[in-house]
Amino acid sequence: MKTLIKIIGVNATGLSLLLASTVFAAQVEESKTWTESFPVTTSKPTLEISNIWGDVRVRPGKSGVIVVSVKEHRRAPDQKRFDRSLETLGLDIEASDNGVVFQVGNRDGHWHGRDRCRGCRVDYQFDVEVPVDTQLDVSTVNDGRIDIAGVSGSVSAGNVNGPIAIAGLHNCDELNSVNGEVSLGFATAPGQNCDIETINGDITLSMPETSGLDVTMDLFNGRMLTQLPVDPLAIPPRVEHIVSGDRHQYRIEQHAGVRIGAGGPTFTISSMNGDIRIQKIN
Amino acid sequence: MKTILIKISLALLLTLATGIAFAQPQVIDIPLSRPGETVNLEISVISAHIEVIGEDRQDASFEISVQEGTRKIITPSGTQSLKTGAYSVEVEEQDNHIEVDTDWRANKVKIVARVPRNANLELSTVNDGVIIVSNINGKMVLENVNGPITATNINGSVIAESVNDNINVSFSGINKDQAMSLSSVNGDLTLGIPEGTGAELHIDSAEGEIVSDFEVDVQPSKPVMSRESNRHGVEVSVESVIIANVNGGGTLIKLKTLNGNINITKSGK
Repeated sequence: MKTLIKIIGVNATGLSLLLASTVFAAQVEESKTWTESFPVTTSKPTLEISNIWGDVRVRPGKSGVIVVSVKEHRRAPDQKRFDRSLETLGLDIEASDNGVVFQVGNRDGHWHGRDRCRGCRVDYQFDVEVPVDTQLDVSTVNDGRIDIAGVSGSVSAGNVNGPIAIAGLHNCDELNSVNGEVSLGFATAPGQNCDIETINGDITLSMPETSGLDVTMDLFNGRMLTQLPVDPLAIPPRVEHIVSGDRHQYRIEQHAGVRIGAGGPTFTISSMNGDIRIQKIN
Repeated sequence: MKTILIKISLALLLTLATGIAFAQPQVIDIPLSRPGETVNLEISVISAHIEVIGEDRQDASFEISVQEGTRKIITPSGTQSLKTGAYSVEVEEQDNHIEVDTDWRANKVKIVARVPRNANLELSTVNDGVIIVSNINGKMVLENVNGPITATNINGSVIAESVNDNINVSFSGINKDQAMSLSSVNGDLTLGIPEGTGAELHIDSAEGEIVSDFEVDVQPSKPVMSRESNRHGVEVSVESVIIANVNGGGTLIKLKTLNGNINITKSGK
C-alpha cells in the first residue's frame, strides 16, 4: 500500500503543527515543526531523503516504525513570492510498507519553476528515527550536514556544501560530497564494496584494527595517512566500450591501489583536494 | 630477434637517459564506421607524446600509456612511496572521426596511433610534448607549443606551429590546392619537398639563416600591411616576406620563424 502525502504550507491532517509567522515589510517568513510516524512491515525498510537546504539526522529507534520530526522554515522576499513558493517549493512524502521517501523540491519536477520564485527558500531540518536495519539513501545540498549514527543497514549519502558524518556504520554503498568532509566510523570491519568521492573535503575512515580493504585511489592533491598497515596493490586498467547510436566510446582507466590489512571489499575513493585518513579503532 | 633486442635496448637507454618511465601500455583496436575511407583523427592533450603512423590497414589501433608518478602514504612506521599511473583516456569513433581525450589529472600521456594512410589529422599538445607523424596522405594541422613537430613521408598538406621548438616536415607529395604554413618563434624550420615539385615559398625569418638545397627564384616583394579592428582599437601589422619560387613556383608554403633557421631540403635525400 502506498500513501502520497503533500504538505503545502498549511495544516495537514494528522500532523501536529507549531506555526509561527513573521511578516516584515519585505521578507515574509514562516516556521513550523511537525512529527509523524510511518509504520513499516518489512525487515529491512528503506529511508530516502532528498533535501535542498538543511540537515538530515538519522538515529536508530523502534522497530516497525519510521518517526520523522521536521522543522520547516520558509521565506520569500515578499508575500506574492511567498505564496508562489507554497505552490512550487515543498516536501512530498511517499510512504509504503517498505519505507518512506521524502523529496524536497519543485512540485513540477523542474527547477525552472523555482526560478520564477527567485529569493524563495525552504529549509527542512530532518530528525528521523528508524528501525536499526533500515537502508538509507539521504542527501542535502546547502547549509546542511548529514549526521547518521547506529544504523546497521547499508548507507548511501550525498552532500554538496557540507559534511557527511556516519558513526556505528556497518556497510556503505555510495558517499559523495563536493565541499565537505566525509567521516565514517565503522562498527565492524566493512563487508561490501563502497564508492566515496569528494572534491574539496577530507575522507576519514575509522575501522577496527583487524579490518581488511582493497582501496582504489584517485587522489590529485591529497595524501593518504593510515594507522593500519598498507601494501601496494596492482590494479589492472579497465577498458570500457560504450555504444551510443553510431558513436563508439572506448574508455581506459587506471587507478592506484593499496591493500589494507589482508584485503577485503573494494573501496573506490577519489578526492581532488582532500586527504584520505584511515584510523584504527581499538 | 636481433632487431627486437636492439629496440628494447634503445627503449631502455632512452628511459634511463630521460628518467621518464611509462606504465605498461594499453592497446585498443578500433573498427571504423567506413573502412577503406579517409579517417579524421583529432588528439588534443596538454602534455603528450603523440605519434601517428600511417599503415595499410582498415581499422585504427591505439597504444596508450602514462608516465608513472609516485604518491606518498604516511604510515606509523614511516612514509611509503606508491607508484601511480592513474589516468583516464577516452577514444571516440563516429563516422570515421576519431577523437582522443584525457582527463586533466593525467601525467604525460604517450599515444601511438596506427591508422590507415589516408587520414586527416588535428594534433595538439602544450607542455613537454612531442608530435611525430609518418606515412600519411591527407591534411594535417599540428600544434606543439613547447616541443618539436616531425612529419615524414607526408603526401598532402601541413599547417604546423610551435613556439619554442623545431618543425621538420618532409613531403613525398604535395597537395597543390592547399596553402601550407610552418611557423615557430624560437625553433628551426626544415621543409623537405620532392625534387621536381614546384612551390612558392613565402619566407619570413627575422634572425636566422636560410639554407636551400634548391635553386630559388626570388621574386620582387613588398611589405604587406593588414588592418584589423577589435574592441581595443585598430591593429595594424606589416609583414615583410621573401617570395622564392622553387621549380618555377606552385603551392604556396609560408615559412615563418623569429629566432630560428630555415632549411629547405630535397625530401628522400
